[in-house]
Amino acid sequence: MKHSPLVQSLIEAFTCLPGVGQRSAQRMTYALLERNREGGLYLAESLRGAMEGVRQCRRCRNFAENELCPVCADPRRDDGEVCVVSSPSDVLAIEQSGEYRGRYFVLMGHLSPIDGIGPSAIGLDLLEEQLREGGIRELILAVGTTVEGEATAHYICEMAEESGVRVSRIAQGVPMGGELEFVDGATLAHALKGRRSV
Amino acid sequence: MTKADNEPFWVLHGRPFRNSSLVVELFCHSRGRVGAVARGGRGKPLLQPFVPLEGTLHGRGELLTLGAFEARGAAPALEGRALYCGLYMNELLMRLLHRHDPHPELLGWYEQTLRALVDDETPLDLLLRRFEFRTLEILGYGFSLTHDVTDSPLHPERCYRLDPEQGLVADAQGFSGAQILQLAEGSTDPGVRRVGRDLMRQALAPHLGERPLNSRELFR
Ligand SMILES: [Zn+2]
Repeated sequence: MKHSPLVQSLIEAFTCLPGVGQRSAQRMTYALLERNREGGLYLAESLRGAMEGVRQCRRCRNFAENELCPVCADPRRDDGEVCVVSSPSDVLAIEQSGEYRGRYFVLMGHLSPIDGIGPSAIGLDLLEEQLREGGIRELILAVGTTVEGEATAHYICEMAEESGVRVSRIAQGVPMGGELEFVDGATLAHALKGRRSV
Repeated sequence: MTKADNEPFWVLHGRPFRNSSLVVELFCHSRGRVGAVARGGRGKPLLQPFVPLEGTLHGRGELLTLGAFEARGAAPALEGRALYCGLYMNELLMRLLHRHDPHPELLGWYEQTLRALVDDETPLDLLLRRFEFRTLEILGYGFSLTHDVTDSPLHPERCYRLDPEQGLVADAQGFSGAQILQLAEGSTDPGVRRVGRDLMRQALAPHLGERPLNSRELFR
């Protein structure tokens, strides 16, 4: 069966969501049209509002609705400590731990030459500028341990070294409350390499 | 053949596919470069570049399916600059190899170079130059560093340019013969290394097309 043009266009629009294929898109479209026109309009408004109003923080590249995101704008945060993460969801996770009082730098990805993602595509030119300006005492790398994450970490280390800024990397390995036998070999190898004296 | 048991392979690249899967580009012993879907691949830390693996591939056509796989030995511990070199080699192979064009000898050379990046005292850029040179040779695009296209030995006092299709041609505007000869002997002189880099760039250019190799950006 062929959908009418407006219905078809909405179905196609829904497939841009992660994990949504043709079939779920069709289900969402029908659900809104059949039973929830109000919800649909609210979705449309919020979507437009966010797409037009959310930009990237001038300083840390995290999502922001003003020049600066709430963390960068907060005078109580320690500006000299910068935690480098790959995505806004990482910021959220660290904020929820409640342990961290510094600010962030959000890469929005990793170095991945084969995909054409080079240093400037993940904002490393901006980070380099901030390192040169002074004021950053320590960079805390909280990027993943994939090959791309490792390459990104090394690239940032080289930049920081040139500016004489201290770099640390968050510890990785066995999860809290975790049993060794359930930890995969690669993680265990990493945990062993990063061991510290007690 | 629709199924190969315990095919040795390396991951050249992976990208997320659906929720938890990966589409991986593999460099396999008997099939050359292939693309494959690895279901649940994002939850498998072994399925990464620079880990020697072996496993089963199913299906036919452009995109195969990766079945069970496991490590077949220790992974070379590439770190820092050596890791950049590995990424560069992977990008090079992605661009030079056609899918389903087997080159078992190149696979061996690739493994050997990855290990040399970790264990060998040779400077990394020289290892890359050797990798590029030998790779072109195995793929049938090799050329001599000691003789010109007329098969005469290079003269140290003459200059030569590279015709990527044929080899070195005498040309007063070209690279110094003496430096090319030193390059052939594996000299570590900085000037010779620059000649090696420029010469290999010219040799690779016709096979890479318009787009530059992005990994070159990593070397600051
Ligand atoms: Zn910010």
